[in-house]
Amino acid sequence: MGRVNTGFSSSATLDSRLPEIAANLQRKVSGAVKQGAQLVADAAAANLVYGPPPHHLKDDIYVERVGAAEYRVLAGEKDTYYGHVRENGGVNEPPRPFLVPALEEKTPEVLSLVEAALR
Amino acid sequence: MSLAVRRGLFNALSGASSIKALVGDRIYYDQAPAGAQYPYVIFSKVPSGAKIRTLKPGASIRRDIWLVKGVDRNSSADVVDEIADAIDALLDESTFTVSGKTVLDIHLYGDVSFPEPDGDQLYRHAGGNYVVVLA
Repeated sequence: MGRVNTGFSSSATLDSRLPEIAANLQRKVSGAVKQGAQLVADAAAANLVYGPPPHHLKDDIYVERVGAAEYRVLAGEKDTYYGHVRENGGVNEPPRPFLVPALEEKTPEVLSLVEAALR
Repeated sequence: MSLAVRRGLFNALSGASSIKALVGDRIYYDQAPAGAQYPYVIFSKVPSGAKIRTLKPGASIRRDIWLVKGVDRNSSADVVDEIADAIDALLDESTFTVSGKTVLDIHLYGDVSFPEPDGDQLYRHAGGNYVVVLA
């Protein structure tokens, strides 16, 4: 019977490396997702134009870490609180989405980044 | 193609007894007319469509996202949440008729829910973005 060399001397060695592999994978994927989220944030900002000064929603789009390999793109701060109204429409204005189109546009690139991290 | 989907979506929404019971005939595209009574339903196309070519020559699939939400002037979110539930029950993993096309899939892309204070009034918005796939 042939023998396959797995590179591991025993199952105990294999077990002991799994957490290390998982941690490394998570770090790589998390970095890729963060990079992808920033691409989405930049695309969302590019979908907006500067209005009258002094506060601009375009300058208040940022990435926030939610958890391991999980990030969200947020739009709006104290003085630019209206991001969600612009995206989804208000009682006096129609929707003018800028976040979902950015996510849709950049999803293939984000997936590519994650795929590259997994290789 | 947007016009055909818009008409199909309007017909689906206005033909649903669950939605009619909550908003009557007040279903509007993009924005409600001035003076519209509350609550109402707003639907609009999110500018993110993609045409996907298939292996069959001349055949393609169209994937679009549509925002469909209820709007109410109310300190409570109960009514608008009921409208959102009715919209979701009608659309998510369902279908509707689009002239000249076949709806292959509709599914919820993401929830939409937020209050909108305006002066001394509080408006409520609730619904979702829905992916519509057409062939």
